[in-house]
Amino acid sequence: MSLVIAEKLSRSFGATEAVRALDFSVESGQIVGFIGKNGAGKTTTMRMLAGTLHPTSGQALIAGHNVVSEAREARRAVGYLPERPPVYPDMGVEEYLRFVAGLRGIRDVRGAVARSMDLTGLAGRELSPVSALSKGFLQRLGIAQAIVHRPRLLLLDEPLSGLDPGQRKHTLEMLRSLADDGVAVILSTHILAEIQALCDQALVIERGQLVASGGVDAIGASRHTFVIQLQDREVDLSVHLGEIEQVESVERLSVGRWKVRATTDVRAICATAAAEFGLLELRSERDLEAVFLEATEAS
Amino acid sequence: MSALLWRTFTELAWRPTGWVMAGVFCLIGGVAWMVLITGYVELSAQTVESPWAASGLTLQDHLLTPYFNFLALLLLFFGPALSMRSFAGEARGGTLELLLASPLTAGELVVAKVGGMALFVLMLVLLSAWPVALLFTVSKVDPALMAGGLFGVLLIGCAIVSLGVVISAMTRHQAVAFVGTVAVAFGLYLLAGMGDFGVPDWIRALAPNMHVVGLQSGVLRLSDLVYFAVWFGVTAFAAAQRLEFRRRG
Repeated sequence: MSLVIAEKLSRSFGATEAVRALDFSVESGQIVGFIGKNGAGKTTTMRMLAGTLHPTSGQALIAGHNVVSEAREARRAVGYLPERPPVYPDMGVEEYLRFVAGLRGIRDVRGAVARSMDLTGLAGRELSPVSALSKGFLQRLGIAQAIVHRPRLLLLDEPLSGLDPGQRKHTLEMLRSLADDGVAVILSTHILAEIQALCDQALVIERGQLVASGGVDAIGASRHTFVIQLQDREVDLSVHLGEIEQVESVERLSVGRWKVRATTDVRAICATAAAEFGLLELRSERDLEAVFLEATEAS
Repeated sequence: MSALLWRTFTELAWRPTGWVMAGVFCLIGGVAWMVLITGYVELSAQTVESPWAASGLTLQDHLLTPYFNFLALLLLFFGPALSMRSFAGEARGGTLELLLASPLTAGELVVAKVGGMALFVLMLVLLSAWPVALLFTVSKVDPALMAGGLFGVLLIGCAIVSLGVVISAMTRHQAVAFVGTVAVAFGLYLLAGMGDFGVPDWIRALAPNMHVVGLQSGVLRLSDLVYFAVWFGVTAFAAAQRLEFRRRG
C-alpha cells in the first residue's frame, strides 16, 4: 500500500477552489517534486497532508491513516516544514529542537536532537540563539525540526529557498539519504533543475489541478524540444524543417540558432535535413522547465 | 503536552518580560499592602479614643480581604497581558503551524497553554503572598482565611487567563486579544456590584469575583468549585473549537 494516497482531495476558501480533486500516491523512499506557479495550490495541498488544514472534500491517507478522522496517527508519521520556518526567536537551537521533540512525544530527546542536528549540519551551534541565525541556517533548523521524530513522510515547502549553493547541495544529499532510508519526501520548489536532479516523481499543479504527473524523465519525454546550431547563418531553417509532419514549430533564437518543437523524437530526421547547412550542435531540451511551462500554459 | 506547558511557563518565567511583569505585579501589590497597613494602623489608633469601634476592626475585613480583592483586580490586567501572546503570537510568528501539525489535539494544545500560564499566575500569587505570610507570623489570623484568599486570587487569575486564551485564538493581533480580554473580564467583574441597579442575582453570579467571597471567609463552597470548573471547561472548549475552525478554514 502506498504511504500517501490522495483521492479527489479538494479545498475551497469561500468561493475560491484552491485545490480541485487531486489524485496521486507516493511510495516509501520516493522523492516527489511538487511544481506549480505561486498560488497554484501547492502549499494548500501540503497543509492538508500535514493536518493543519482540513480538506473540504476528498480524502488523504498517510500510512493508512485518514488525515482528518485519524489525525493523531497521521500527524505522527509526518514531518512538516512550512514555507516560513516555524521557529521561536527567543530560544536557542538545541532548546528549540528539544521542545519540538517533546511536542512530538519522543522519549530519547537527547538522541533525536543530536541526530537531526548532525543530519542538517547544525552540530556545533547548539547554543546559538535562533534570532541570530542566518536565513540558510534557519532553513536548516526548519528541516531539523521536521525530521527530529523520524517521520515516514517529509513535507517540505520551498526547502531550498535562501540556501547558498553549498547548503543546497548538502540539503539535497541529506534528502536523498533520508529517502534511501525509506522516508518519502514531498517538496515544492521553484528551482526545477534540482527537482529534475533529485526527484523520482513530479506533480505539476496549476490552478489547483494536477496537469502532469509521473516520473521526471517520463514527463520530460512527453515533449520533444531541441536546439540546433548551424554554421550557415543565413539559412531559414523553418522553411526546411517545417515540412516535417511531426514538427510543431521552429523558432529562431539567435543568428544560426534554432529551437525545434515536435510531437515525437525527430532529432535524426532534423539532423539529416540540417546537415547540408553545417550542423554544429543538436542539443535536446527535454527539461522539466519546458514541460512545466507548456503544461501550465496549456491549462 | 508537558513540553508545550513547560515552554509556555518558561517563556514567561525565564525571560526579562516575565521578570518585569512579576516585579511590577509585586511592586503594585506591595504598595497596596502598605496603604492598607497604614489605614489599619490609623483605625487602630482611633479605637484608643473609641473602644466600642475596636470590635469591628478585624485583620480579615481591613487587611486580608481588601488585599486579595486588589490582587484579583490587578490580575484583570496582568492576566490578559499574559494570555494575549498565547495563540495570537503563535499565529503571527508562524509557529501555530508547528503546533497544529503536532500529534496533539486542539484541546490538548489549549490545556497546555492555559496550564503553563496558570503556573506563572501561581508564581505571581506566591510572590505577592509575603505580606500575608508576615502577618501570619505576628498575628493569630486563621490560616484557612489566608490560604482560601490566595486560592481565590489564583482561581480568578486562571479564569482570566483561560478567557484570554479563547480571545487570543480568535485573532492574530495581540493588542486586540489584550483589549478584548480586559473588556470582557472587566465587564464580568463589574456585574458583581450591579445589585443596586436591579441586575438579577443569577446574572451577577456570572462574575468570577462573586465566587471567591466564600474562600476569603475560609469556606469552600461546592457551587463555587462548580462555577470555576464550568468556566474552565467552557473556555477550553471554545478555544479548542476556534483552533479546529482554523483547520476547517
